[in-house]
Amino acid sequence: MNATTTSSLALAVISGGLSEESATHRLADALTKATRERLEAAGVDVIVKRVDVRELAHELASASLTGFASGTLSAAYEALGRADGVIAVTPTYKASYPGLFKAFWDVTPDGAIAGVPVVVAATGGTPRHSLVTDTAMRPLFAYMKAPTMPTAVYAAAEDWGDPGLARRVGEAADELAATLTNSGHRPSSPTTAANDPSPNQARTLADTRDRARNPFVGVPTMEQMLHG
Amino acid sequence: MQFGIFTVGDVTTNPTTGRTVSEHERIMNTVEMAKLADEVGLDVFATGQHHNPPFVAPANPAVLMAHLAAVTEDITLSTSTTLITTTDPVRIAEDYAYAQHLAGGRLDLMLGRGNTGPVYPWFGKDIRDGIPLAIENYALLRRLWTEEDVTWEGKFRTPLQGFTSTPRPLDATPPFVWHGSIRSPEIAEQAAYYGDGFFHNHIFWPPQHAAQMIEFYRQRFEHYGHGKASDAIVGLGGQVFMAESKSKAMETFRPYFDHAPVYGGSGSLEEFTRQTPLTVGTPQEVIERTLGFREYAGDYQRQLFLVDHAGLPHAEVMRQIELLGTEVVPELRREMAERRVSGTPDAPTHPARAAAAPQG
Repeated sequence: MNATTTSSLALAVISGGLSEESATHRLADALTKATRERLEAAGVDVIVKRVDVRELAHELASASLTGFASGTLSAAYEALGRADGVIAVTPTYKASYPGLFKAFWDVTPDGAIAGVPVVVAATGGTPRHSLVTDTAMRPLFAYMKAPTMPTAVYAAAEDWGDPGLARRVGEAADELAATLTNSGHRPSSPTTAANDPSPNQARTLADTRDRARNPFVGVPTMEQMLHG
Repeated sequence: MQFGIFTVGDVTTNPTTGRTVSEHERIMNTVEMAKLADEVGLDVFATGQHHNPPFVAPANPAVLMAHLAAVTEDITLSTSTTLITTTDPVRIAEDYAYAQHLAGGRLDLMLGRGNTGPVYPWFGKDIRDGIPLAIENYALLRRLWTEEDVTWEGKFRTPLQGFTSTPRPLDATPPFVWHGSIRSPEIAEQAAYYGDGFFHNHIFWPPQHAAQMIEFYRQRFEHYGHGKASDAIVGLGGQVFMAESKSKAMETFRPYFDHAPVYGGSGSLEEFTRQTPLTVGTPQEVIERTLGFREYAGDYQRQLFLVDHAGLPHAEVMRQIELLGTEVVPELRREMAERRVSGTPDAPTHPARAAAAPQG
């Protein structure tokens, strides 16, 4: 990340809550606010693009079948493709994220968030699903080549009365803000170290991402394809 | 500019009657379509290549093309597409050259990679090699058509020592080649490099996808020194269903749209006609919509329409071809010619290419 030289950063917040007033939206709001505060304290302007997957349900069904995203959905992917950081929050249904949340990522162009740091967070009715962030969400973002922050936030119904939730939200926001401003990395965190790309890896990831945004970037020439 | 139809030979149950034509009926109907297209003055009939149900497009399109060559007079026979990835390029060179002789040069082909995953392993290939297969196989195909003594070694097929593909192309002029791709810029790059044609299927996606690919191809065509970007050879797909009024056309076509696997229940007919080039309406509406294509694709050389899919009954398909030939295409020819920037190349034909080819 070269965020230290950037005065503004774009956050894409993807909320998979299925009802209008959901705990998932609430958790997404809390993470957004905490991250914004930290970045602004570091002198960075923050532009937030909030995507509520529920509003895209019909377009996602169509896009899954036709292979192209149109209208609002395409605008959401446009924003995702330009985001410097992502906050992804989902409810837990039947021990995992709901199909609609997955559909959003299924239709996402390959490479759209390659190398982009992600905070994973989930809500659920009971604390017994708390590993959903690690067993379901992290593999999804690993596939998308997007490094997840060490702290994942899970909020069960009862957590909304527990100050521990705000603390975890704060930790996740710290990690994302620190990664984005490229300062205050936790060097002791093996996850962060493993996800901290070398300059070459960073270039490759950025190329992957550029191509997701514009498939005409970096097309191999015929000479390269014939003799490469 | 050329106008024609293309088919993929799907055997789809007619959702309004529940009837499914037999493979034999579909094959013979396909021949009738080509004959009628020829009679009503369309320029091109293109057939797909398929290796799996529910399709009866030939596994080797040259088989059908050879027959059509005998039962048609003027129409150019083409493919939509010939699978350059899983078909041995030596057989493509041989079979299409043979059919080209039978057709007196009324033959060209469009290469595609194919989108049916299992076809690759069925023919001992790996879908992840799709682009490298298209690149290597076509490079060999070109040599087989232009050189008599080919010694070759590549990654995907057994080497050749002193091989001569027979018969040699008619008038030492290989069939013109179009490269078709919906979303792979590498294929547009390949078409541009050789100065071949580029065809965008165009029909299931919003038109800006086709526009971007064509623009990239045009720029690369110029980069490789084949002429100006506007000299590049572009083809577009389209799909239409016509009736005497818009409402009648929508009413008649709707059950086919709603049930056809190719649309997959994706949204409404209204949405789909708005977002993609599918046109359901009067011949005049088809003319107007089609005239709009050049606004984002530039002046182009070949327009093919899909009219025979989704379980539409044969009689209805024939009526569509008749309408294209009698009402739509004559008007499109006039209007396109009027709008065309002067100097835009014509669609490549065998006589023109043979006349331009070095003799010897």
